[in-house]
Amino acid sequence: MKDLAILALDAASSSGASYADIRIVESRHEEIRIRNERIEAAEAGESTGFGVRVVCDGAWGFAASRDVNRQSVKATALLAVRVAKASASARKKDVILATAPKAMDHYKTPIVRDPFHVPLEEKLNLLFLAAKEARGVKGIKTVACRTEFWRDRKFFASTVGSLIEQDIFHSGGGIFAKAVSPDEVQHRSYPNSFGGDYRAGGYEVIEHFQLPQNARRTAEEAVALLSAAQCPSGTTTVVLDGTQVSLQIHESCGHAVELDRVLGSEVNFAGTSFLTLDKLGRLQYGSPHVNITADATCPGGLGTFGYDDEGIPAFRADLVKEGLLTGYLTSRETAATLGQESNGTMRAEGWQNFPLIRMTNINLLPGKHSFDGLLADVEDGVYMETNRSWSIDDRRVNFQFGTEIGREIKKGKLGRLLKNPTYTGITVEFWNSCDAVGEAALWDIWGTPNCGKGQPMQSMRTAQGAAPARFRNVKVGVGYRT
Amino acid sequence: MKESQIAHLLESALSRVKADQGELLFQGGVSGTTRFADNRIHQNMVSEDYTITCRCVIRKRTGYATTNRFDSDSLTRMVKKAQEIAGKQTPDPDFQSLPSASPYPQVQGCDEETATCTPELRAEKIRKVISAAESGGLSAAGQLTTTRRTLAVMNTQGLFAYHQGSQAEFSLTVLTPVSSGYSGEDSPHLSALSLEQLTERAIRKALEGRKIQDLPPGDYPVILEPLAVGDMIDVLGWTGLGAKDMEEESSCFTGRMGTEVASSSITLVDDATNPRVYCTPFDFEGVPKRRVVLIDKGKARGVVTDSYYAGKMKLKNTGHATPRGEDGPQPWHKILLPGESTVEEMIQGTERGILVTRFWYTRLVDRKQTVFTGMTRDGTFLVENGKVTSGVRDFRFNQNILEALSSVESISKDQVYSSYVLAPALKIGSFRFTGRTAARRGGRSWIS
Repeated sequence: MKDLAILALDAASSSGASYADIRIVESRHEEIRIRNERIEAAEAGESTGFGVRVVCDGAWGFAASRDVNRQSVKATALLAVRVAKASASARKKDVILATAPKAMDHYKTPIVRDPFHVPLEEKLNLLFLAAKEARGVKGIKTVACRTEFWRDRKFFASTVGSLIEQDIFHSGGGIFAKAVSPDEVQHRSYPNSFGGDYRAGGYEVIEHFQLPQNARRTAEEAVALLSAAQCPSGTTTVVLDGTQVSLQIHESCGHAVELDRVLGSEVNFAGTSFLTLDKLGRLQYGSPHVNITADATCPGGLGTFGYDDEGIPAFRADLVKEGLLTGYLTSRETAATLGQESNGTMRAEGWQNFPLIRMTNINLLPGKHSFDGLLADVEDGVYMETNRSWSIDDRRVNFQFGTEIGREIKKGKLGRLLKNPTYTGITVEFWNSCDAVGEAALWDIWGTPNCGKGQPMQSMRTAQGAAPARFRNVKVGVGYRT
Repeated sequence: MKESQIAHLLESALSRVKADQGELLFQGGVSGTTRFADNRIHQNMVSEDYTITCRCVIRKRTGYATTNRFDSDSLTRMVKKAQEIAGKQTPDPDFQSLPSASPYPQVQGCDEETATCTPELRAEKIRKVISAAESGGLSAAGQLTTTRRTLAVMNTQGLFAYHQGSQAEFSLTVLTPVSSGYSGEDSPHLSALSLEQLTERAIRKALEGRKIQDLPPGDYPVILEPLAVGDMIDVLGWTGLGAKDMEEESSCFTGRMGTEVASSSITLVDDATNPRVYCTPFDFEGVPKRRVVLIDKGKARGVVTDSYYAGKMKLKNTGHATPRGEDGPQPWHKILLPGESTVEEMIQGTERGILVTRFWYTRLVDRKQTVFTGMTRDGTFLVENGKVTSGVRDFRFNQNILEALSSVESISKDQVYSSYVLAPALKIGSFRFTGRTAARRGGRSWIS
């Protein structure tokens, strides 16, 4: 690997590149999906290749190939330089990179059980057991259970002098139960939507979820939703469970603090951000209960690693401190515009992709309230659990979410079941209406396995740490005419 | 890679299969994307990748394995892994067989000009786009992608299918300090995309949007331009236009087949042979793609199938298999048939309504009821007395798609192909805007 890396960096440098890096990546993936009584898919996959990124004549170039050999590595490095020179023909200013430390290191996700060494039979037994439990509930039409595992072995080298090896494991899975009537479809997911929950770790992640033990309840709730009351429309207090708070953070904070968006690099697709540079250190983004960090060092998150794809060490940065906007997610190029050093958030979906600023683990730090305490002050409100739909505008201002299930809150207690809950709001108003965040015992780190960004679209695995939280004066029920 | 090389590679891999049936799916290609923002190229890339996926069937038990390494050891490892997975499964009584060979339509092949487009040529085209924006004091951002794609399937039932195609994708956002305008189109032929016209269009929209006003949310007549219609039709595809959703009674067509679900002027088909769309004459199982009428003059008419669901549900295989897709067979070449009108005529015939360039972040709120939400973006205008009079702050909407298609008043004859949907513009009697957002830049207040 080292020889190939040096070959690429030398080829790029001798052709005029002022900076070059190479990522050689070997990825493994396994997915098993059960649908009712049958195995819908059981698949193992592997992908190997490398990408060379260069700055030449003040502009970026990138080329990637699956042929990991000396001839291809050299040719691809030269192609990256050629691409950069084409970029330079429409250059307005030179790419300037913030300094990066030279790193000679290796990192491996701590795992207890290598998921690729767990026998297939054991995984199937677990999923069939969970499916059987859920299928035993009268009224259930479809049960889907899944496990999914990734292993990415990355070798990074750059002209800074860094040589970094990483071995990253992600594991996840869950249960999905669907009930139908002639007029509607209702479903419940456990432990989260998007196929379950996902974390950095090995097979112990799946064991921790206790899928069979939670299958029946999940299915029962799906059936119960068919006869539940419709979530009312109006303005009220909302308590969100940790999984929904997680997605709220992801969409309205995590994306909004990506500095490439702020600076306009993503305007044509993902959009920009309302968190413009003039707001840094000035905008009261949320209430004093709102403290948000980007923490790639946090155990168990899909955004946990040793180094990002620019060779920057994992970092913990304050984004929002007691409600005040205090930071952005940065890269070497974007950090330079602020006169800062990168806080290490550049990641690429695969060897064939150009790295972008991506969320690491965006964590809403826990507050002091027990779950009962979150409900206690609520005279009339709605508790919403597990995301079902999500949408936010291109500047991350106007959002609307729907959840799988809701419950009335009356006089500080959970009441009857509500179906089709939706809520909408404006990011700054919403986070400033947060008057309570759940305590550390309620806090967990939730994976988002499908975060999209870039052209061509790259799907990234990110995470958000969250506990349930309470928000006042929220508009609910807007998705439906009532 | 040439057809003969791929055939030889797949034959070599298939010879290693020791199962009742085996299938190899080859896909991949070369892609170049040049992105620009703030009037400069900021990301520019070329990548090449190919994968082979092996499906082995042993006594109605199926296993899959994929690799992008094509040396002998890797191919053997892939086949053995697929067999190992299949061997540990339980039989699926609904599995019939892998498909046998049948002739597929000859569609246009790869456009070499598109497939071989160089980074230098993409940069040259983008420089002209940037120059046009800069000359007006505007900021341009966008992307131009050119791709060569190869798809081949070989199985133990004697099937071999091969196709190579090309695709060019262009999109552009032009910004003023207070507004933005967008245009975009895809085509199998780069030469079919008029970047000059698309640039002019985005610039015009950005400039027209500079005078902007807030309108209250509510139900408005709308003129949805083709990109907005295409987005809406794409979302409709998620509500169950495939056999799997019908089988699970979750489709928007469940219990409604043959009944009226849209205006009689609406016909929606899936047609992979239309020369304006990215043509693939067969699906990921090598089965010829058939033209499927999904909505016929307003009536729910059909859903797409693959070999598994066709067998299970005793339906004809329409050739819409996805690669191990969780969503089952899917219509990936949706075409909403054109009408006789033009966007200009729609505007002229509107007393008061909203003109929408495109939607953003559209998601289903209620699958069975086909309610979707999203935002308008990059060119939303007020139409009064037959003229565009101002830009409008972007709206959030919550709208039942089939209800919208039921209140269609006119359809344009021009269609635009983007994001795998070929769609015309629609004038719709009523569209439900439920919220709005803030000033585009520098705004201090936010309105929900």
